[in-house]
Amino acid sequence: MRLLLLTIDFPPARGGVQHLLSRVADGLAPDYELRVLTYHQPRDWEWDRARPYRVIRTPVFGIRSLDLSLLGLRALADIIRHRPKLIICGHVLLGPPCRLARWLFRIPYIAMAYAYEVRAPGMRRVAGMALRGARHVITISEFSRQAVMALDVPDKQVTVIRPGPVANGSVERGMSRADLPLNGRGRVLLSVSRLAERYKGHDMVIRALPLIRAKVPDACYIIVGDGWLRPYLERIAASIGVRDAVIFAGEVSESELEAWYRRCDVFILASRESAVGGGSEGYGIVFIEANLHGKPVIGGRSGGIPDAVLDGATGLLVNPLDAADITDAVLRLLTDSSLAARLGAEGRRRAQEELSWGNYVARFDGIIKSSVTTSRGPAGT
Amino acid sequence: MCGIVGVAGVSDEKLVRRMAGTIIHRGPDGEGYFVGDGVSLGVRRLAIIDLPGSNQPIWNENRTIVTVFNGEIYNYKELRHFLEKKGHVLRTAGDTEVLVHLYEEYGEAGVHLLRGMFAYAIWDVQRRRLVLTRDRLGIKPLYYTESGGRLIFGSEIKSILAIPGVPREADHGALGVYLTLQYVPGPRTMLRGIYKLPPGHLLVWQDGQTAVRQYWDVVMVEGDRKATEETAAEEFQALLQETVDIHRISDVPIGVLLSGGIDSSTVVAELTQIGERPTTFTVGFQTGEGINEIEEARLVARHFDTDHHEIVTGPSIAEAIPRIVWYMDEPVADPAAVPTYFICQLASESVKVLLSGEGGDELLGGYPRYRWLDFGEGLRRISPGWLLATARGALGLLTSEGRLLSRLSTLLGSAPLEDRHLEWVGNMDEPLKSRLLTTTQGDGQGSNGAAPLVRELMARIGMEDAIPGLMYVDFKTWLPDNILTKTDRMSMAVSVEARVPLLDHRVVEFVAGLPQQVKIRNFGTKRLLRQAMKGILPARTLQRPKQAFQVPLRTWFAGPLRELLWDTLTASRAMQRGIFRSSVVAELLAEQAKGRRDRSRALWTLFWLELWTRQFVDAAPAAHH
Repeated sequence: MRLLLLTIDFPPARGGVQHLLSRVADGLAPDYELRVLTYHQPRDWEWDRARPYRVIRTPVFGIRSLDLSLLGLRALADIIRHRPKLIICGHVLLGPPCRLARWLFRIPYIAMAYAYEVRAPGMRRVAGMALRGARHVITISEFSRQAVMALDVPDKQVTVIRPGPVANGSVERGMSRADLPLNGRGRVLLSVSRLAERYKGHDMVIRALPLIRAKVPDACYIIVGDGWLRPYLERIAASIGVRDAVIFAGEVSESELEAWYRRCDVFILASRESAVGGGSEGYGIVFIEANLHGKPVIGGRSGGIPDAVLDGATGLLVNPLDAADITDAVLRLLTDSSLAARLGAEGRRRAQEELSWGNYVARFDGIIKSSVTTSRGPAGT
Repeated sequence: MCGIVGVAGVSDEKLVRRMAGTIIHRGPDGEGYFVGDGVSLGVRRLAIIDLPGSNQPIWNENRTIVTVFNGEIYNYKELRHFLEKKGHVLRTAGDTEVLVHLYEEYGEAGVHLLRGMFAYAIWDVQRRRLVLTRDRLGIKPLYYTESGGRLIFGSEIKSILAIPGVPREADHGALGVYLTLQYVPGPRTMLRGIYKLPPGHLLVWQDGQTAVRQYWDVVMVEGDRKATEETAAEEFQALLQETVDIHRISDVPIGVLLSGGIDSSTVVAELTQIGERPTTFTVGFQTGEGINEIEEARLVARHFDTDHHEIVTGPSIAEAIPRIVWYMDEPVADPAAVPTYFICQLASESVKVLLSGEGGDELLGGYPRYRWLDFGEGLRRISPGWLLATARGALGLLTSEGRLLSRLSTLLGSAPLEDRHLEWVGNMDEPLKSRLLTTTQGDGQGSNGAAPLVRELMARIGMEDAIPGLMYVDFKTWLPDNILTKTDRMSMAVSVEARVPLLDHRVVEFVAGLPQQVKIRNFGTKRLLRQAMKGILPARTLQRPKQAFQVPLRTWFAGPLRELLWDTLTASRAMQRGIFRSSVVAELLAEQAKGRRDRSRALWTLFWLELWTRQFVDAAPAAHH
C-alpha cells in the first residue's frame, strides 16, 4: 500500500517531532510503500541514503510562505503521479495540500497534532481546517487532545499515542561520567531543553536552589541546552547568590547528553502554562528519556506533562509557580533514596515497555488500517 | 505595619524601650520586648492581621528562635499550611509566625518564599546569631549602625539616635549627592556610620562580626525577542488581578490612594473587578500652578463608582512642615511628601490600610526620559562630535533658561550616560552646586558624587541598551531611597499602612523578564499596562501621557511658606554651619522672591536639609513629636 508522509520536521535536524516522525517512517517502511516529502537540510543525503524508503526534499529559501507553497506544490505533483492510498500530514501547516488531495482524488489523510501549533491564538483557523478534514488525528497527550477537540474535531476521531524517548539509554555508548564538566561529587539536578521559551521554568528551579541548598548544600543544577534566555538565567542565578551552583552545559552531543542523564540524581523541568493561550509543554519526551536511564523526574503540573510524568509512580508533579512545592519535591527525592529508586525503576520499566517505539508504530499502523478501510463521507468543514 | 528596633551585643530592656519610644506612630496599638543573653529586641505594633493574637515578639515551638517584624506577608496563609504540613505547630493566626518556622526549615534562605513587604530581625538563641532581612524592593525600611561590637538597628534612624553614645554627625560626603538627587542613595545615609540595609539584602551578625549579602535583585531580560505583546498583556492583567487580590488581606478597612494616573487607576480597576467597592482618596492643590489631579481622579472614581474622598492642601502647610521633616526621618526633599502626608492623614480617619500605584513608573517604563536618553545615545553614536557641539552652542546662545532647553542640551551632550542621567534628574546644576558649597565641603569627587554610583550600577547590569540600565538605576536608587521612603514614612506618620501591589516581586520578575520593547516603544510609555488595561480603564485615563506629580512649590514659596523659608535659610544657625556660602543662598532667595528665575527645587532641597539638621543633628530627635 502506498503512503505519503508530508512533514516540515524531519531528521537530520534534531528534535522531538523529527525523531517521532522518523521512528514512524522507519517502523512503517517494511509494510508499506512509503515516500517522505520534506524540506531540504544541510547534509541530508547522508541521512536519506540509509533509509529503506524514498525521501524527497524541496528547497528552502527562508521565507515561510514560499517554502510551504513549494512543499505543497511538490506534494500535489507527487500525489498525482503516485496516488497514495493515504497521506500522513505531519504538521497542520500542511493541511491545505492534504485537503486538496482529499477533495480532488478522495485520498484520506491522518493528521498529527502536537501542542503549541494547535493552541497558538494565531493558528486556530489553519489548524482547525487541517484537523477537521483529517480522517483521524493522532496526538501526543491528553492535553493536546483537549486542544484538538477545542477546534471542533469530534472526540472519536482523536487518538492519543504517547511517544517514547529519543535518546536510547544504552549504557555502553557515550562519554563516561568522569568527562563531564562537573567538579566534585555534588547532587545533580538536570534539565534538558532549548533556552528559548520562558515557560520551561528554569527560572523557578534556579529560584528554589537557595532553599534546596539550605538542606542539601552540595546540590547543583545542570542546564543542558542553549538559547537566547541563557544570559537572563545566568543573571537570575547570580542575583540570588547561586551562580556557582548552576552549570550551563550548552548544546551537547548525544553521548554527553546520555552521560548527563546517567550522572544526574533528579531530572526536573518545571514547565508552566502561560495563563492565556501562550506556550506550554505538549508532552515532554525528556522525562521519558530520564526515566529510561532509571532516574526519577519532577515535572510542572501543566500542559501535557501529566501524560509524561505519572505522579507518584515515575516521578513527582509540582506547581511550577510555587518555589516551596518545587523545593519540597526536589528535597524528597534527594533525601529519600528508596523513593527515588522506586520512581526511577518504574519510569524505566514504563519507558521500555509501554512507551516503546514498537508499541507506538503498532498503534499508528492500526489507525492507518482503519482509516483506509472505513469509508465515510467527507468530514465537516 | 509596625516598627522594630534592637541591639545585638547588649541585654538592656530600658535601651530598646527608649528606641521604640521614638517610633510610637509606626505602631500605636501595642509594644513588645525581648531581652536575652546578648540581645535586646523591641517592636511597636500596628495591628492589621490577627488583631488579638499576633503580639510580638513571636517565638518558634521550643523558644530557640524569636522575631520582631515590620511588614506584611501576603502569602502567609499558604505558608502556614505548608509549614503545618511539615509538622510545625503554629500558635497564632497571623503572618509574623511563619518567619520563625521558615528560619527553622531553611535558615535565612526562607526569605525566598515570602511574598510581601518586610523588614525583620531573627535572633537564633542557640547560635547567638542575629539575621536582619529587608524585602526585595525596599518597601519597608531598615537602618543599622555598629559601635563597639554592638549592632544597633531600627525601622527609623531616630530610634538609633535615641541610644546614648551614637554619634549624630552629618556625612558631608553624602551632601553632594543629596544636592543633586534630593535624597541619599543607600547604603549611605546623611549620618556618618548609619546605613540602610539595601533592598534584597540580609545582614548576619554573629560574635561581633557583621556580614551583608544580597539575596535577590531585579533581573532584566536582554534582546528584542519576538514580543508577543497581546499574550504578555493578557497574562500581565491576570497576574495584576491576583496580586491586587492578595494585597487586600486585612482584618481592618482598606482604601486606595487615587491620583487619576494609570497606575493607581489600575489598582482601583482590579479591586472593582474582584467585586470590591473601593474607598478612594485624592489630594489636590488650591492653586492653579501645575496640574491638578483632582479632575482626573474624579473621572476614575465616577467610572468605578468608588466611595471617593478629596482633600485640598491649603495654607496650613507651614505649620506642618517641620513635623513632616521629622516623620520623614531621612532628608528626602521630595515636595510630594507634603500632599502625601495630608492625604494619608485624611485617609487615616476611615481606613488603616492604603493601596497605592507606587512603583508603576519604574517597573513599566513610565518616565519619558528613558526613551529620550536612549535617543540621545543613538544620536551620539551616529553624529560627529563637532555637529553636536555646534548644536549645543547654538542652544546656549538662545538662552540658558528653562528646563526644556537644558534637557535638549543634555541630550546633545557628549558626557557619558550616567552624567546625562544625573543632569536630567538632578535638582541643581553642577556650577550652582560648586558655587553653593564652601570649599571645605563637598566630597572631593569633582562634579558630583552620584556619578560613580550610577556608573557602577550600569556596569553591574552590563547591557548594551541604555534603557534597561537606566531602569535598573532607578530600581536601586530613586525607588527605594525616595519613592518608597516617602510612602512608608508619610503613611506611618499617621499610623496607616501603605501597600504597593505593583511592586509585588512576582509582578516585578514577570515584567522585568519581558523584552523592553513591550514596555517602551517609539516614545510611548507603559505600553504593556495600557494594553493590559484596555477596555477596563476609561479611554481618557489610558491615553493620558505621563504627568509628574506637580507640587506648586513656587506658589508655596510666594505665599504660605515664604516666611518659613526665609527664616529657616537665613537664620544665624544655618549661616554658621559653614556648609553653604550665605551669599549664594541669599542670591537664590532673592531670585525666587523677585520671580527672576525659578529656584524652587534648589531652595526646597536646602530648606529641607536645614530643617532636618536642626531635628536630627543639632539635638537628638525628640521622643515623640
